[in-house]
Amino acid sequence: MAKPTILLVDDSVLMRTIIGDIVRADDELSLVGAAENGKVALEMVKSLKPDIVLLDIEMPEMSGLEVMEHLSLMSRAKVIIISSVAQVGSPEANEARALGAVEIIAKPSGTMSLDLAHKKGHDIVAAIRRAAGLPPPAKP
Amino acid sequence: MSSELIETLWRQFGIEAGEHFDLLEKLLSAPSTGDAGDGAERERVAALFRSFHSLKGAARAMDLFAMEAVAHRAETILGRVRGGALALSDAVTAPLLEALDALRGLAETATRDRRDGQAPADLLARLDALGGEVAVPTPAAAPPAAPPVRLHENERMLGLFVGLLHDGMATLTRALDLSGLDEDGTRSVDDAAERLEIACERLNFLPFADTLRRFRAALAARDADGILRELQGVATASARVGRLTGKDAGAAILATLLADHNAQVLAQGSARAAALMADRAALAEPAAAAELAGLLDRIGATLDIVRLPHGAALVRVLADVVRRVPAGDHADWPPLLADARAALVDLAERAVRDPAEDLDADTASGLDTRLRAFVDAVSAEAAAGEARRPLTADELAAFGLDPGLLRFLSPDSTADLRAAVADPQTRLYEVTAFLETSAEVASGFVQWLGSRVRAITNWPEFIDGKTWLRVLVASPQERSVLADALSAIDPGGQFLRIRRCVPATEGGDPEGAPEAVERQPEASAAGAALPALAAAGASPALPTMGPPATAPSGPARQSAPVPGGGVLRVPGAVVDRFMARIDGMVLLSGELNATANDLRLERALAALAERLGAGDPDLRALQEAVEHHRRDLGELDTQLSRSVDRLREAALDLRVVPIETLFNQFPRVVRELARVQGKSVRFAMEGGEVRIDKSMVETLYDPLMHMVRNAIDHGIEAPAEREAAGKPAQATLCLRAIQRNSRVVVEIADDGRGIATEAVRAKAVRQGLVGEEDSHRLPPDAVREFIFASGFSTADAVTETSGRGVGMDVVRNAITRLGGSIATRTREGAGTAFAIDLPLSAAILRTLLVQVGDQVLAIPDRFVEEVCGFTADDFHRVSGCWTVLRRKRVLPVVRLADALGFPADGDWPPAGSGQRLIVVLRHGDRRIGLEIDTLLRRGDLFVRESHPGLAEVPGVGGVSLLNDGRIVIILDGDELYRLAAAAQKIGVAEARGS
Repeated sequence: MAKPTILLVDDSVLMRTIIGDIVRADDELSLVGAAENGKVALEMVKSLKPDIVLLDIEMPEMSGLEVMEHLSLMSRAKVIIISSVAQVGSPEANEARALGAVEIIAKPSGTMSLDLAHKKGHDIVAAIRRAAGLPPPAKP
Repeated sequence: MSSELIETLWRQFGIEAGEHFDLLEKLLSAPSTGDAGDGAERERVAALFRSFHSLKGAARAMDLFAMEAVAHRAETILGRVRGGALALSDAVTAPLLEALDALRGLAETATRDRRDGQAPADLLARLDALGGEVAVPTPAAAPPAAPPVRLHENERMLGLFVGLLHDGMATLTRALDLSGLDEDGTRSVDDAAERLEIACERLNFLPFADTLRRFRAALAARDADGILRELQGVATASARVGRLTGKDAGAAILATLLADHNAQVLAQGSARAAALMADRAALAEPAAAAELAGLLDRIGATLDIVRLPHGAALVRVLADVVRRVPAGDHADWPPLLADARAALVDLAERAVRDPAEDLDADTASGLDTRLRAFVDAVSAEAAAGEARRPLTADELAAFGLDPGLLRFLSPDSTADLRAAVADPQTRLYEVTAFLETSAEVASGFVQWLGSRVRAITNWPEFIDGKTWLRVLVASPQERSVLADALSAIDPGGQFLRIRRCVPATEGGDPEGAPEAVERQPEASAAGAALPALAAAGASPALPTMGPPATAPSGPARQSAPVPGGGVLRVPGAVVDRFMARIDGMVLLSGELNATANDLRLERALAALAERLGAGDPDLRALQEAVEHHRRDLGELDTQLSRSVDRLREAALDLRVVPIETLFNQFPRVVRELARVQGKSVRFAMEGGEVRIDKSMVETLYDPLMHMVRNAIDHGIEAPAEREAAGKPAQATLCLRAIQRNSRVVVEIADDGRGIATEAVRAKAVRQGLVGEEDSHRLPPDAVREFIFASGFSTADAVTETSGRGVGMDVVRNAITRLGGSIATRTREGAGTAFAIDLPLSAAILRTLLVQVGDQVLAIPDRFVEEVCGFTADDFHRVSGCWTVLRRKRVLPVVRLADALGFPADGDWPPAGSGQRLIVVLRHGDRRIGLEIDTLLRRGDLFVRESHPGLAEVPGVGGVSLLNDGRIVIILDGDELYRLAAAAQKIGVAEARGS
């Protein structure tokens, strides 16, 4: 089976590096692109046709929720929201759910602590694997 | 996490934080219009919010909690401003500017010392006061005034689609009344749905197309439930299309027509949901929870359609809780579940009233708050578990540990640490390691960690400009035993140090250890290595641990970067852009060169001089002045091009890294391979300081690995065989780099058995690469060239006896792609050396620019032998091919356009009187002539990654831009030769056919 392809959308290059590194650490996932804003993301979705889009909410140019409105019409990609504004029950979380987000998770924190056990079982990888129908990440 | 990644993260953090600071400064200093409703003012507030929000996220990611605290409060304040609860007056901007200053200071400390700072308490308090105790919930992002991104490029098609959708809705709703729908009626509904489905496919609205397809399937199966479900989907999607296009897509009609059916969905859905919620035990099953969450989602969507926002929001929060929380046996859950169930039943009943009634706001928000609090409580408790409960700073200090360690302790490592402390047999140690220089030390250390001790957690420590690794380990052994084990791994004692963490209860100086860690940054700046160890009063420093000044090598050898100067951090993209600009300048300088040395000018001046003869002296003087200027121009051109060359080389320096970073990846592999094969190999590296382009490091890794493997697999003999041959039992494998101007030679040399020329010859004959008779006439060098022939490696017999040949074609191709070449030196019985000659940067390519039709093409310089002019008379047909005679040898010639499959105009073979230009392409010993329209000049091109689609085109190696913006296609020399040869054969075949 082909590896699920993943597009990462975040306006912060730091976050793109961190999340990209987390995703790349899983051999069964394929990170096919990273976009710095919603407009670029929509273009990349068209050309790359990813299976899963990891989406930030707070972005200049076009917010993640606006991106989702477009995506919900034009792409079959599953959307996972990675944002700290989207706590349970927040208006953003509700809106994102209404627009079809399959998961809503917080941004990674404490990246610098090199706790591999913690990093491997990272929520992000777990969420992606759930969305892609893969078994949960192995416990280190 | 590799220290390289950590370095990257810190660099990115520094840059990104700087960008946010500058933006915030600008936004906060801009005069407020005071009108919160004003679009520009709204955007300003939104941008401020986003910027603080991003800073918060970045700080959290880097474990900078003081920064996070400040940014979080600023974000909260901006959230209130955005929500209209607070005006952006001076009373608000002043503390925000203060927050900005504090953030700047904290970020500076963080990037310099790699550690968290302290946020001023009074500032936090003032920010808290402005933010209010309870943050006002921020409204969802307001819909933009004008959609910034078009839903579809083709506005006209989109318009047609919206019209089609609007008109089709009424037809689709006929499917709701299945009993009244005869065969014809069904067909017309299906037709309408199919038209929309096709339109959706065409416009690439794929999920919408899926919905319509499912609708048609449900219609065909006369599945009333399915039809209703998919029509709801259609309603939602068309509402979305309507909102994004600002046109009526008929969603309202459908929603109205669906009203009755919506009521039905709500009634059925909430009845099932209520039933599920009534049986708490059954709900503990994941399948039941998933079903409930799905039902709640659908109820939420229906409530959206019938416009009951409070109800919809509550249902969604409930769905979220059901999904996230393994609520099972939590004490708070039963009453909450019961209340939520009651609210849902109430909601279902209100929703079907006419007009529909929403939940009252108080009930909704009360439950909402309880649900959210419940999630927080449950997740906190789940994370805790007694042993996993976070430690306090005091507890850590009592263990003899730095309270700063708290943030590196995950719940699991906290539990490990508690267990270690509780065990009287176990002691805690802190090991400081630098693993980037020696792969032996790194792998030995990792092995030691895995076997001798229990590693609890590890964290990076920035010392003297390098990222060291600190590991907290637990072991029952004495420090001296562990120190001996570490000395065995790192005999020099430069890379591994250990100290005991002495608990407060064991005497010693309880304050000692944390103090030492705290003091470290200043001490490092003063040049002392690892003061934490030296200062750890309870444990004497390792005897082998010398001060850095006397250490012959190792991380501490380089001088520490001067704070704020010395080392600049620049993102790769900036360097690439800089290179591209310089590239533009190089091109310009080339054009100037062409103009300055244009022969026509020289000829014109000569003709003028001749005409003038001894005529008008005034005109003579003018002519001399022009001549003089031409010479000046020429000289300036020479100087400029020299200085541009120097500039380019200096710029290349920005992209380079020591080749050591590549070489260091091999010792371990060599050791591993040698061990597996029972061989004894000494691995030597030389010239690690030679610097090469970063991109080359990545591309060279595979070919080098391949050759190192080959050397050990096949080149190096077993110890007994070596001794029998009178060689030392231990073989030597050497990786060496030598810089020669702008090129680097990487050599892989072994003292193994060498390449058996005769075996290679025999195999080449067997494989049909050369005839038996011819093969005997070939010089040994030429025979050995066959190891690079494609497919030579597929058979195995030779590789075992002769030593080499596995995948060498792949190796050579990779090196050729980098603009390099590979040479072999070997003596049977004595060893083999491969020398790879490479440019320092693969990114810049010297090419010959030519033009065919309108297209500028670049042929890599090293493939071009020369460019000659011929007249039509010089072209002759020899055994079907067009050829010219060059240096008394026949040179086959094709049109470049024909070779590339470009449309060609003009005569072929050439006719008329003009001169024809032929580029002589060199490929090994073979030559072929390419006829071109125009010769432009030589040019150094900055190769950009070519579009994947273009990279597939045969003959194309990449693209670049001329400074006039024209695109240049860079041709791949090998491929070009192949294409040209093939085009010529076609020419021969056609000639025979006609």
